[in-house]
Amino acid sequence: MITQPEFAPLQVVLPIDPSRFYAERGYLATTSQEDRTHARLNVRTTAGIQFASRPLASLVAQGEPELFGTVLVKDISKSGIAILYHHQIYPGEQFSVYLNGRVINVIAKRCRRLGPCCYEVGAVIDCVESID
Amino acid sequence: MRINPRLNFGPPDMQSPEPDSLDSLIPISALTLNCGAELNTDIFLKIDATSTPKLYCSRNMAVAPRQVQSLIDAGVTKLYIPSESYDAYQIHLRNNWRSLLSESEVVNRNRTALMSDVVRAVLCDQFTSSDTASVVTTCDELGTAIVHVLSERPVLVTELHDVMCHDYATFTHSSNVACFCASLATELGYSGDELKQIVVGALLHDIGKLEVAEQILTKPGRLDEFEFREVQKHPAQGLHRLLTEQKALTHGQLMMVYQHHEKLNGSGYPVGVPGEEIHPWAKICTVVDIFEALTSHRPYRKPMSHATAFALIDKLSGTELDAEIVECRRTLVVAKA
Repeated sequence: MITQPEFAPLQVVLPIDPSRFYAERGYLATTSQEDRTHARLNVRTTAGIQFASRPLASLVAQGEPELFGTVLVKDISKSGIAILYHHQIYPGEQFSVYLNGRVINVIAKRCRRLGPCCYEVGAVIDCVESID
Repeated sequence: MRINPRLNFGPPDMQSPEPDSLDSLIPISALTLNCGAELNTDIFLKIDATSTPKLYCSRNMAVAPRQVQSLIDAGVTKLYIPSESYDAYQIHLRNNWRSLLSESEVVNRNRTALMSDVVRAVLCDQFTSSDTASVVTTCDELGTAIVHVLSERPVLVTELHDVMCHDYATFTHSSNVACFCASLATELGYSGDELKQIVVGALLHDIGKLEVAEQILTKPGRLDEFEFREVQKHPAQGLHRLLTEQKALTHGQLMMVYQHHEKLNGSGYPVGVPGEEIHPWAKICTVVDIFEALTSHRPYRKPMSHATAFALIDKLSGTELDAEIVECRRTLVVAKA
């Protein structure tokens, strides 16, 4: 069983009007040229994330990078999740998302800067566990 | 000229026909035979510009290093092999590259050409391997060799450009970018271990392209939206491959792989980070990468001249590319040309 740790507060700065961001609902539109395997559902909630370690980020950040943070969840599918975080997360980095009583263990696949203190990270779900 | 061609001593029916012209032959650097190993093909010699090529050494006979030295002393830098033996030549380079690059007696323009040929051949071999650790280890050795060769004497950028191949194969491009990065980083004040790390990072910068479909990379026309997105994945795929399978690289080297398409104004990919978040080594790689791409053959266009390439790069300097690095690169081409 897993217990939920303490997370640092949300530091994401949305580059668009937050009301617009939170207004988006339902499934995301997709195109025939996308290679996604599952439909993505818009989700608007915060979640805690935990890194086991951040060797690459350690070399970039001033001081030690945070291992516990809070993200905005953007969308989720059967195989992946998109989050907004205030720092870059590199492809290949592994972390856990604490969401609705579950721990979603994921591997980052891509990261795109949307604005200062706002990076959109797409990650592939590795496995899901329950929180105690 | 004191050259003693070792004509084929085998029975007549075993002798290779001597070609009438150079059309069926490809040139190779004479120095690539300077290791005492036999090259599994006939080797031809052209005494002067007007003569027809003559058989110099038949297959399965090694050329002795002193004979190579005689050729070089006589001003013969190129020998010729049948075009169908290109694969055998590549195998020869891969099998003997360590001894070829460590040979320190020959220090001249030919040595730069030798280095370019050898690095390309070894990278070609390594980039078809799925063993990332082996690729990184070999690139580390190649990086050491490149720094060693280029540090023996100042090598002009135009000279480097002239001796290089400029096809669009990933291993050719990576080899060229590594050599140019060595030259530019040296001019920017890097030296020693840092310089070597930059060169190794440059050799690996496009490793993610090995996961992009060949028909996209060699497509003669303009890429469609889907194909372009596939190509744009290569920095992230490269970093992912190196992070998950190889731990020995430094942060700067990994950032060269991940950030060499980032731009100062945040318009680059994969992340779109602004200049202050781009690693300085990645900024060097970006300038060299663009310049090398513009001045090389591409499936969809002919190579540009240095002047045309600079005119294009000038438009990006300061907004997308680091102005100081662009200026330093220009200094290398213009002042030393």
